[in-house]
Order: sequence, then C-alpha cells, then structure tokens
Amino acid sequence: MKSNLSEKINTKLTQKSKRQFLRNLAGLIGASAVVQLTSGNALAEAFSYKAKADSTKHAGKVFSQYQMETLADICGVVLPKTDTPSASELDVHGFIDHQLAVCYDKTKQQQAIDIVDVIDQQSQQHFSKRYTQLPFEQQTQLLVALEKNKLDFTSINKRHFKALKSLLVFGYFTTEVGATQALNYQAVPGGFKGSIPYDSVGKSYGSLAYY
Amino acid sequence: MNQNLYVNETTEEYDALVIGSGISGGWAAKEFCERGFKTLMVERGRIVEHQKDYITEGKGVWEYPNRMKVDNLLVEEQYKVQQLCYAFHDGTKHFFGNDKDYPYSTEKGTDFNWIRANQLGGKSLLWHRQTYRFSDHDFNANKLDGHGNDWPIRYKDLATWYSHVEKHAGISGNYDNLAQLPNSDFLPPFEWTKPELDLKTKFATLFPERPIVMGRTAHLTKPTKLHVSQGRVQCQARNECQKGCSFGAYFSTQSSTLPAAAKTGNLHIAPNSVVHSLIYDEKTNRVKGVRVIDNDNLTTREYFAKVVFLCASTLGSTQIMLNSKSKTFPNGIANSSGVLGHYLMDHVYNAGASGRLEGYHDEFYSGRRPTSLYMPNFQFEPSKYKHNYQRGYALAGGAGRSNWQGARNVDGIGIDFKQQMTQAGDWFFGLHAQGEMLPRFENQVSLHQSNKDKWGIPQLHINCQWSDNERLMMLDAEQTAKDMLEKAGVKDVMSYTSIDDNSPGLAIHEVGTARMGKDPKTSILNAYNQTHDIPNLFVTDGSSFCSSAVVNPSLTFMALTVRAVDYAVKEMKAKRI
Repeated sequence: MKSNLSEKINTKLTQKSKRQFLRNLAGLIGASAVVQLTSGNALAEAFSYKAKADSTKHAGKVFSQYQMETLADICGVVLPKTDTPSASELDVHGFIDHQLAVCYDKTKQQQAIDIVDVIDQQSQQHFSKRYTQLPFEQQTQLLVALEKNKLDFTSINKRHFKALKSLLVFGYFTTEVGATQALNYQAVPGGFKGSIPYDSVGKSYGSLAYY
Repeated sequence: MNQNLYVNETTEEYDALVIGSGISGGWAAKEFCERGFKTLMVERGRIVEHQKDYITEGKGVWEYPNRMKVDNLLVEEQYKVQQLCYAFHDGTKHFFGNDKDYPYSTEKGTDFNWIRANQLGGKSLLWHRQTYRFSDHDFNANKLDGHGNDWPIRYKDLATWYSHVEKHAGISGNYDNLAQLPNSDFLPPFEWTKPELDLKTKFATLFPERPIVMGRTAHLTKPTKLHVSQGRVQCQARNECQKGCSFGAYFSTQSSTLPAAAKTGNLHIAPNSVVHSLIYDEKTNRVKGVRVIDNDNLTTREYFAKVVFLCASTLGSTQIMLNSKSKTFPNGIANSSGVLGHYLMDHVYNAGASGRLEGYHDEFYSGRRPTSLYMPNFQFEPSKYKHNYQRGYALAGGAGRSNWQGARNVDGIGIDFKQQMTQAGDWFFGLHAQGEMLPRFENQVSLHQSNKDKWGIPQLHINCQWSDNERLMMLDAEQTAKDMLEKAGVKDVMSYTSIDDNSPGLAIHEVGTARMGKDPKTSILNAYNQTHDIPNLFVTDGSSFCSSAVVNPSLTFMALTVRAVDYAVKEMKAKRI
C-alpha cells in the first residue's frame, strides 16, 4: 500500500508544483497517510533555475559590461567548478548585479563597483593584463593577495571584497543547484531527529528556516 | 471553507460578536459556537483560507525574485516598521500589515515598534508558537513586590482551562514538574541534540537552581485522534511556519479553532470590517453592537449582538475602546477608572551570549526543529531577585552547527573554500534573555489629537519606554548567560546587551492596557475579563494582563478567553447579561 502511494506521489511530483502537491496531499490520500509518505527526500524535487547565459554580454543594473566580465571571473575563482558547477556557471554575477540594485543601498552598490575596479586595476598594474585575461592560477593569487592585504590592496579593499564575497556565497547557495546539489536539501524533513551520524548526510543543509 | 460563512450586510442580532480572529478571537468564536450561540466574528482584514492562501509555502529560496529578501523600495514605502520583525521576509510579507495603511505616532524621544497582522487568523499565522502556562509565582508577583495591581485570579482558576485549550491546540513538551513552569497536557517533546544533552548535564551540576528544558510549542509532534479529525497532521520539522502550514501542524485559527467553530453551523465571519467603535446604549448600560467601516470601500455598517468580546489584540482592542466615547464614558468605553491605555508592557529580549563547542564533528541532526531550549525564570519570587532590579528573565537558545551563512566571511578562495562552505562547521551554543517588563502607569497609549487613518479612525499615540529595571536586568542577563556558558566549557563566548538599540514592541508581546483587577477604580476588567462597567462587554486578549510575566503570553490569551466565554454563557443563561 505504502509503496504504491509513494510511487503515485512521485509521478505526480514531476507534473505538479511541489506547493500544489502539498496543498492537495491531505485531500488526496487522507491525513494519516501523509505523515509516513512525506518523510525522506521524496519531496526534495525542485524547480528549474534559469540562469541567464548572457549576463556578461551587456551592462547590468549596477555594473558596466566590462565590470560584469570581471565579476563573472571573480565568481568562478571564489567558487570554482568541482563536482558541482562554478558560481559563474550559475550566473551568480548576474544575481549579484540584480540583488545589489534591488536590495542594497547606493553606498553598498558603489563599494561593490569600486572593489571590482580595484581588482582589475591591480591585475593591470602587477600582471599587465586585465583580470579576465589572467590564467586561473593568477586570478586566484590576486584574490588571495587581496585577503592578505598584499600587493597594493588595503584593509578597506579587503572589507569591501568580503562584503562582495558574502553576497557571492549567498547567491551561490540560494540557487537551486547550490541549495540542492552542493548542499543537502530537505524540503519536508518529516520530523526532527536530534542525533544522527554526520557521515550519513556528509554535507551541510541547503534548506534553512531563515535566509 | 464555504462561502456561506461570510457576511457583509446583515440585520441579524447575533448572540455573540467576537472582534478579531487571531488567537483569542478564534477561541472565543469556537467556544460560543460549540455552546450553540450564533456568533459573528468581525475581522478587519482580508480572508485567508487554510492551505489555499499560503501562497509561498513549499517554495525553494531560488524561486523568490530576491531569494527571500525584500525589495528596498517596498520596505522603504510599506514595511519600515514590519521589517524589524525577525519573521518578516519575502515569503511572509503578505501576512504583515502595510505600514502605510496603519500609521501611529510615538511620543517625542520614545519609539515603539508595532507589528501588525491584520487578516483572518491575525498573528496566529505568524506567531512563534512557544506555549507556557503562567505559574502562581507569576500571578503573585505584583502583590508581593508592589508593582502594578494584583491579578484577580490565581493558577487554580486557569488550570482546567489551560488543559482545555491544550488538548485541542496540541502542545509539545516534556513533563518537567517545575514550580515556576507548570506542566501542560503535552504531546511528546522535540528531541535534543547530543551537545545540548551534555550541556544540560553540566548545567544541572553547576547550576542546580536553573533547570533547562525543551521549549514547549504548539506543534503536533504526535497528533491525537482529535487533531487528525481537524484535518491536521504531524509536524514535518520544516520550521517555515510563518508562511502558513498546509499540514496544520502548528496551532493557528485556520488550522484549529476556525474549522471547529465552522463545523457547528453557528459561525459567521464579517471580513474586511474595520471596527470604528462600539455602540453603547446609555439607558440599558449595554453594548448593542459595533460600527464598522469597510476595509476596501470605506462604507459603513453595523453589527449587533447580545454580548461583545473584544479580541482585537492589545493595542487594537484598546484603540476601539478609546474611540468608543459616550456621555457616560467620555474617555473611552468602560473606562470609569481612567486606566485604559496605561500600563503598556512588552517583553525585553535584549541580551544573551553564545560561543563555540569543541568536538561533536561526527554529530548532526535532521530536520529543522521549530523550537529551542528554554531555561525558565529562576528569579521567580522576591527572595530570588537580584539586589539591583526586580523580577527575572528566562533564557532560550540551543545548539547547532554553523554553515555557509556564518562561515562565508572567513578568508579563502577556490576549491578548498567551496568545500568548506558545503560542510557543516563547528557547533555553536547560545542563550538569549526573555525578560519581564514592569507595569508602569507612564507607559501609555492614547488617541492622537488630530491624526486619523484612512478609515477616519484616530491614530494611536504611543508613549512607552524601558525603565532602569529592564536595563539592569538585561545587563545582568548578559553576564549570567556568559558566565554559565564559560563555566560549562563553551569556547570563544561572545555576549551582548542591546536594550538601547531596540525599542519596546519587537517581542510582539504587548499587553496590559485594559487590565484586570479586583478594584473597579484601578482596573477595567474583573476576574472573568468582563468590564467592571458594562456587563455584556468582555476583553480577553493581552490587554487584560496585570503583568507581563516572563513566559510567552499566547497560551494565557487562550485560557483566559475560553474561561471568559464559559462565564459569559452562564451569565447569559442566568439572564444577568
């Protein structure tokens, strides 16, 4: 009985939004069965996230096109491709541009613009190339130097970079891929267990009560 | 929910009018309806239907345009005050009032953050669901140390009513048998994490006078047949409650009291009905009904009943009473004592400490526990007070592993940094104070002399400040929490006191502005939440409180309300109302 219902629900999931599914659940199978069926990951089905492929092809809301190109590379360097995509592959630079425009004030926007410019200037000064033309290793070295206040980076640069990096990390782990693949996503945990072996999960949770 | 529930124009005289549909209003309606009384619930806001109107439930963070953050411009224009609430985000903002529609003023040099939830269900949709009975130490406090007036009731008066509401609502918790925190009728408690259990053991040795328990919360950890019959199921530990819960796993008007009331066939609801004032009959000294202004089109109408229950929230009910003026009551209805609007209290949540735990890296948890640990007030009688302030505070908190939200500020670039962000980090443990605020005459709400809202109702003017008692309490709470953590072996302990950064209001536990009391000269309500002045007018929300106590107030709103309905029904049957 249980497995048949589970199957039925999983099939339905691919057709319906999870939210509608939850709404209809009690009506569909009756209240008592819901409890058993919703435990586990059956509902961790997610919607597709449509990253814009062309964020670097034009100016953003906050950044110029040139800056968007730099920012995209910064994203790819801070969170590079591993068994999950890089931040630039997930259009986190596009998200940062959007989020700065909508949810941050002018001062914070300007600080983000300035630090992207500073990174490119330091690249030109020390490697005689714009940041996007550096090999990946040198791109990494430059950002490591920034966090160590090396080269001509100042502690203020570092503070503004940390703010940008914080938004970058937020942007990555709140994408569908970031939340559900890079992390463990429990849409409907099915109850709270106070003690389980860490290895049984192996990573942090991408599903949070507050973001 | 069927459409026949809702009324707009009606000439019917109901048995009972219930003003408000939140925690108190839901209970008043249910109790009247189940006793066979024709009841009209008057709600100022829109209809919110269970399940259907939980429009953000189950959405992944990536599905929100700004990943659950709210647009700057929108915050600036509409939610400047509401955004201060911890639960305000893009997934819940539709359950908060629009500040533009609900203006109020504050006395120069003071501030008060008034969080609004004006829709069917009110704040029962948004509440934090912590549920604790008052103890006799709470009811005795005013009498023993002389602040405020003596509560006209004691624990024994409420005990059976607490049980009554708990069985229906569903309260999870452990039978801890503490004098300062009476047991409820519990469903099983939520589980502790391993570090929490170890700290509990350490605290028990180091601080035997300060027991720590699992936070008691209105969640169905193990639904009874009664809960299942309400269409509710077990809590799934999503901890996204304020978006609404289609499982009905936490108590709200929609999940629990409204379906029970509707089932009787005795309930009608008048949504979008902003109560302007109560209609008072000088000859009979009775309230006949309410004057209502339509939320949307500003037309006026009236509703009538034999008895009126004000359950419109502390400030909401007080505003209605202040605005109900007559020859007999020129300063607000049932206000012969003159204390209406005075003694406004909130809780003071402005101190705490947290730090890192060593080890436990092989330990984890599954799910998002919708409650925390709770160390009830250990200064619960005058002999236990500190020398420089009175009353006490509880400490709430718990342990969890850090994640990218906290760790993203560390140095690091590249693959190792990414790997670090995907792993659970160190365990952290914190305790945060929830203190009592003393009742003070000067902390007052009144009607503004000239400012009105868009319905033409005089705005509230709030004059409310912390006193040195709350300030000294928070300074002590910070030190105490820090000391406890350090002695228990917590590392890198950081502590804070934030009382001068936060005005009253944000605990969203405002109470006290139409207080109960034995003496009609110094109180508005008698021991049954009935106004001293007018027999058929009752106020059963937080405005009736004589003291804030330390615990969260909602369970006591429920118990006072059902007890008051029981009393009102008896009085009506005896023809005294």
